[in-house]
Amino acid sequence: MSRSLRLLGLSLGAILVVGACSASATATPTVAPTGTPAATSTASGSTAPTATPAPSATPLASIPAGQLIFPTKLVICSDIPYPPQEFFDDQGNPIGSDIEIGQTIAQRLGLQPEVQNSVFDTIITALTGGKCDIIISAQNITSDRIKQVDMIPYFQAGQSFVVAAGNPKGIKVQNDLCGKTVGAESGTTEADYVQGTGDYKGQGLTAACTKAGLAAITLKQYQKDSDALLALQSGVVDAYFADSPVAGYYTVQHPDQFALSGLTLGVALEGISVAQTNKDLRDAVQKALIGMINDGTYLTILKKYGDDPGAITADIANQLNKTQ
Amino acid sequence: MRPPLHVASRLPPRPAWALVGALILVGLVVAGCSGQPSAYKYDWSIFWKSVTGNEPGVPNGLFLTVTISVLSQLIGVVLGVFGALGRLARLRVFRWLANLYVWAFRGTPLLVQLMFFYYGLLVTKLYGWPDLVVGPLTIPGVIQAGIFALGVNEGAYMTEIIRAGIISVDPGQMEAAKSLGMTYGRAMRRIVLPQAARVIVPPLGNEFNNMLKTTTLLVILAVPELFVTFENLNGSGSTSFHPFELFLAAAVLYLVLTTIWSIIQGWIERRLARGAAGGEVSSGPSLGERLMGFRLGSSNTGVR
Repeated sequence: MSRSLRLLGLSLGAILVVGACSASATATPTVAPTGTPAATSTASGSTAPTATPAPSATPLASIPAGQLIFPTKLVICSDIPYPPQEFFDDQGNPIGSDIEIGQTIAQRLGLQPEVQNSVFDTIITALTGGKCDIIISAQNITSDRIKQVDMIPYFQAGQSFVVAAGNPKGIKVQNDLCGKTVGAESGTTEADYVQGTGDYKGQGLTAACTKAGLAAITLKQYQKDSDALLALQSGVVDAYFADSPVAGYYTVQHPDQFALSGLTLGVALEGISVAQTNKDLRDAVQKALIGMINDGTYLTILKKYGDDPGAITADIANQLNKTQ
Repeated sequence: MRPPLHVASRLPPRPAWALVGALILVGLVVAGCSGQPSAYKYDWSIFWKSVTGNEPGVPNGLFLTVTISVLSQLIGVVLGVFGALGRLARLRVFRWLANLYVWAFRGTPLLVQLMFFYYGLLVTKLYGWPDLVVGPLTIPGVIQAGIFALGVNEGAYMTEIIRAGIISVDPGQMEAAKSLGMTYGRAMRRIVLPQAARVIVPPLGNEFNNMLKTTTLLVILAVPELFVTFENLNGSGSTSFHPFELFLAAAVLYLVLTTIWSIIQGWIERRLARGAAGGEVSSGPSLGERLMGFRLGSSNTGVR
């Protein structure tokens, strides 16, 4: 009996150790009190940059209890990396235009932002399952997604193809993709677009190839967006398909390895997702976003990351669940 | 292959085969290198920085990998003991329950179990995996879910390993203990399980070696263990898209972990071998043999 008790004590002790680690903001497993406002870490080890402005003294709106996971925090889920909208700096802190927009919204609502790294194709599940307050993760507003969550328009982007430097496969127009292998992240509108699923039912890129009597496109889907680009880097796929800002960022950062194919397809709105049950939280987030657009903070953030071509107006941000 | 010079009771793999294996490996590497020239630029500072834990997240990743492995294995062993006792129980209900458990968890992929137990329970609100706050510490729900799924899955395998260990103990031991007035539980704890441990520990060590590596599956839940840390490094910042250096460093770190474990396991096995009937104190495989899985020109085959 005493032995099993000891074992129990041992495992409890070990559980404490895990907790200590996950609660620590720095790389070293030091114990950090949960209440500390500075640099709170999350399940995915992402930390809010210490430079985050302190929560505003006069919050825009008060959010009723039960609509936030923690009373003083805003848990922002994002699938990192997807630069320049969300990525890690060299210290391992999450940065990017999406991240900063989210942090500013939290600050204006008088809340402490906490960024949680997530897997894209289960990110809505994490929100509806009660693990995120909002999602800012370059999510296009689609008819399937707005069935499950409310989406506030905050950005817009086209979709571009990245190819190996020098474009060895000669991908310049849409039909050049036929018979080629394309890599994209699982659960994205890019994957939908190639396959003709979701909002692209009946107008997928593969269907267009077959209609033109050409070979179909082979789509390879990856759990992490950076792995889809890794597949291009290693020659597993002929092109990588992502949002235009992301495609542009990678080609600028690694011009020796990647190039834009020059082929960009339809511009679509991206939205901040909030659970449909949390109406007050949703309205407060929307109000904070519109305030940021009107006072110029929004554009300053976008410019910092070269995302300003995707800026939207306050009028569009006001139209909840606007798909196009 | 030449016929053996000596008649040995048990022939370990011949050194010739190790040589053939090594040659094939070298051949593959050379064949792989002879492809087209690559635009890839090696940056060995990334390898050294990450392998020494100087990239963000690496020490934390190492720590999480080890702690999650240890906790999951502990849960697995505890469940395995109960599972084994259940499978060997006289009452049919216990046997039936234990069989069902082993059948279900050994028969389904761990990745599916991870998704089911975390997201499946989350969305249905059957269990919200709340963060556990113990004093100043917070254990995120996702890590609890990971440890739970890994541990319960491991328990099914441990059930079979522990059952085999218990069966290996002469039934006369239990009878003798009972005739001395011990209860079933006491005899199990004091007499049978300690003897079974000698049979259980080698495969248990194997299981833990596997566990250290299986934690990489937690990538699906975005738990920042060692592999996810390297995935993040590969996706962002100045280390981005250097998979050769990064994943080589990750491999080295996992190798360090499993090597340390091999040393610990060897020590435990030698301890257990003490005092065993006919036990030889230091006759186990050497560390080299344990790591390689075969002997190079051992004394059994004679020196040529």
